Amino acid sequence: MDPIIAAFELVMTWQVLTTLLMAALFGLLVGAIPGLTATMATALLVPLTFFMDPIPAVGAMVTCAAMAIFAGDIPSALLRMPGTPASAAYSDEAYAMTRKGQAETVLGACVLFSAIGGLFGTAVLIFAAPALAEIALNFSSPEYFWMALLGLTCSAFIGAASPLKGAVSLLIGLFVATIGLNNPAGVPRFTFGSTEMMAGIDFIPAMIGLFAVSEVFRTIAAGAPPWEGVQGKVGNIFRNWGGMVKTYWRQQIRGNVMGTLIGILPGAGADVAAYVSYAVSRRFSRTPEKFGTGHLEGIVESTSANNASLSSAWIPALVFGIPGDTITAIVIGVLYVKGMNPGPTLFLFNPQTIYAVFLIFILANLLMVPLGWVAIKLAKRLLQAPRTVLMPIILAFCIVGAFGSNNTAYGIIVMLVFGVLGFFMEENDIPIAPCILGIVIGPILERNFITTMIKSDGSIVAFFDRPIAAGLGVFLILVWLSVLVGVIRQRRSGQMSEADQT
Amino acid sequence: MLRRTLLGLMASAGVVAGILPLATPAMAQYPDRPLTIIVPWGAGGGTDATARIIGSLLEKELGQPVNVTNRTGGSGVVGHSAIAEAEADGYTLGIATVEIGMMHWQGLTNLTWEAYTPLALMNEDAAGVQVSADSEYENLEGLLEAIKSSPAGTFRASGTGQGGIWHLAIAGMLNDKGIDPALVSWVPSEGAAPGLQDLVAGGVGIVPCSLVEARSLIDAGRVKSLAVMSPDRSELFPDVPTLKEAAGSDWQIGAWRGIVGPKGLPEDVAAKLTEALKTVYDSEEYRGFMEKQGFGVRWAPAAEFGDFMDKSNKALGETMKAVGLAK
Amino acid sequence: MRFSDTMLGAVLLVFGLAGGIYSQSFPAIPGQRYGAAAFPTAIAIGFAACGLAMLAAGWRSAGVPLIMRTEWTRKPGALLAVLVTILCVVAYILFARTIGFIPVMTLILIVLFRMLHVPWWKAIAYAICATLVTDYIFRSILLVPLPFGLMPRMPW
Repeated sequence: MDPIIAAFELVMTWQVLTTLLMAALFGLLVGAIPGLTATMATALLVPLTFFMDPIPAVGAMVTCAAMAIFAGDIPSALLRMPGTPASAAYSDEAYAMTRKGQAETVLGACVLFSAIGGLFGTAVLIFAAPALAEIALNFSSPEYFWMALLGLTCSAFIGAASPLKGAVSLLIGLFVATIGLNNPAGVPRFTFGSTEMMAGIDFIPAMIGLFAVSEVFRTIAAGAPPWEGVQGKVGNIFRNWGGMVKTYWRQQIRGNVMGTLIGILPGAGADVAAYVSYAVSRRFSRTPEKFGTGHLEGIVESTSANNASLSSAWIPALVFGIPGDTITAIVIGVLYVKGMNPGPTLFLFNPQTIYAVFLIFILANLLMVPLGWVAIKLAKRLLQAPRTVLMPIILAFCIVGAFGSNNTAYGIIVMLVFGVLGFFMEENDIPIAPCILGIVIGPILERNFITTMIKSDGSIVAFFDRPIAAGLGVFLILVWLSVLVGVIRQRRSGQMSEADQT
Repeated sequence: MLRRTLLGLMASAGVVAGILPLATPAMAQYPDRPLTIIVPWGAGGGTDATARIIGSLLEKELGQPVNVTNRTGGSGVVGHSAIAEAEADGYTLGIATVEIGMMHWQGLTNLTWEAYTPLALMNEDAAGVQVSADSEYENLEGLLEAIKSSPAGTFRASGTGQGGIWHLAIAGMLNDKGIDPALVSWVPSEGAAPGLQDLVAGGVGIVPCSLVEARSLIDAGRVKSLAVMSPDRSELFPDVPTLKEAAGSDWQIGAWRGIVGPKGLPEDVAAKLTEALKTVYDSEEYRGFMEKQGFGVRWAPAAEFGDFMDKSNKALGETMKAVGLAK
Repeated sequence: MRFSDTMLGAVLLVFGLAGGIYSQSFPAIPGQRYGAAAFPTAIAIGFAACGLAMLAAGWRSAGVPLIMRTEWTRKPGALLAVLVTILCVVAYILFARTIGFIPVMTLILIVLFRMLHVPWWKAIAYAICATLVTDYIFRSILLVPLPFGLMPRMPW
């Protein structure tokens, strides 16, 4: 027990606690601003950590990232502007709830389940890190190819009135992902000679455009009328927490497990976790028809998942120094500077430091509840401001956020083009979420397909000749078959019903 | 000064208080406003970390805030172009990397090292030859023999994109030893970490990245390094032989990073910056940081750094032509 | 603006064909069967297939006009409002670097507020406040290098 007591002594000092609080506030601010991601929040902390002791330095990054991922839900629910990509999967759903006047219910759920998800991921990190990291380390390109394909399959469940239009949206996303130099062959594609285009389409400004700017266009076109049916007063976000946990305990556990698993894998982070969980939730729901109309079920599952993945991304990072996502990539550098070199030895020789980090994980997720409450209280005032004032200011934030994602005016151009595209897509009932998924997963899919083919000299057998890959491949084919059978059955049983619920 | 207050608060929160100067007297001469350092690579990478430590130390030296901003994408082309296109007033600098001597040979851009005012070379990390710890090859000679006698495609290497620095490192090494570089197929990856993971997962056999990048997995006993492509052994892993010792080859290659400005920086400004960078380079903070990270340090001031880039550029071009990576 | 299935199908088909043909110009990875062209070609085939499916759907529901104006476009001034908003963003892209973030953003905000019938004095006051707050948050706390242009640095 000694190391645990030592860990408490390391963490429970005013210095550390104050640092955590500052980092938490900073994370809330950055996460709530569209265009600035949890990764950027962490990167901005790096120079400050140079002057900190190891525990506050790592603690600041843990807290800041956790808060930022949660805070992304706030503008996502209130304004349909996902603050970080991890909130994009369920942005439409959360916004639909706000429009039904249930803003505090959805935000309350976001705080609660984000915190629980984070704690679950932390528990896995504490108890199973070395064993799980070992498994994650065995993933090579064929396995990642199947995972990416599985992720794309999810778009079929994200839900569109018409599956065909959902596919079009996904293809748009995949196509956008091919632009630029970032491909296995390292050749410029669809850049038309532009240096900026070589960087490809940065998906942060694209996301701001598709979600937020298109919404601004729509509202302004309608003359920015006052909100319909939104409750003016701030409700109690803690209301019905017990009921939610009771009703959605299955979804929540599934989201936690899914998020943790995806987080452990290097190369997939909180955003992918949220998408996959949302799709899984819809697939197994008893009431899939309610999804998209402002239904809490999918939100619970995916908001649990994105915070769970954040904690579990530390598993390969701490055990092998291999980043589980972009945030841990930054953290690993700081760990070295602070003499906490990642590796199995960290767990053996320095247990009090590692326990202190775990303790900070727990603290950060507990801190999320009161701070989240304050943030939501403040943010809900946004709904009381007249939309004629709010919309231009949101546009200003979009412009600055798109610029800030890579510090270039090119980001604003991308944002504008995707704003117009998103506007057009909505006009034609083409859903937006699959497009974002395509932009995220497209590069992973292509890279792992091409590298597998290079390794096997072009033989497709390579996708099945490793045990994990073969297992994933067979599983995916079964999923496809079950979807197909479902569609055929539906067609037979209800020829007249036009509703496609695949 | 509110930002200062915030930083100050954070500083006093956890940290050595007062290390960040709270106010600086306004100076008429350079620099009288904040500087920006452009990083052509993403947040979290080695270049980003190096730029951020240099930035925070330079800030103390110059008495003005130094903002480090990332301009990523296009395998470094975008950021390097942004540095070259910035106004040559000394307020926008950048951290140039070895890729500046590679991308123009590939026909990706017209940009060369001549588009910059060289200020100071700050770091260099030599390539290594890493294999999985359970690999049957205990030394480089054995590995090279096996490559030579096996059909093409038996050996696969990874660690960066197609035509990246580590790709060039192994191709150049094989070429130098009279082995056809095409015998080892290159599997492109998004940097050294995914390549190393694939090495442990069994997807590839060789990762010719720098030793510092492989450090955690070498320490964990999952990866072993057979040689380092530098004139001297690395301080980080003194047991790893140099390429000369292991295989009798004179081939040397490494990734370097240095601070540059756009071409045509005023001479007094450039001199002041080089002087400040020298102080940064010699500081205990910089040395300590680089040592803990495991990064190598290498110094070359202004003109000398220019010569260094010129030589690096020519050597890379020759190799790229020899192994068929140049257009 | 709403495209009919036929129109959408035709657009997708043309886009798929164009993208597919253009993709064939991408160089291969030396010695490999699948290179830079493989993935874009697959996507192009997907677009073309979706286009054909849409055309088929359009065939069944013949008689729908190719392009329909959705309800909101009939509202007077709606299209103009969207156009002005787009032009404001374009203006920012063109002028922010030379003139500076603060003046350009203030002007854009005033234009948009006025378009939405916010009273003059409020429009000006809100625009200035919002711009300065944004400048403070992004430039000073988040270290985003917003362009100065002609403006001197704010006292933060």
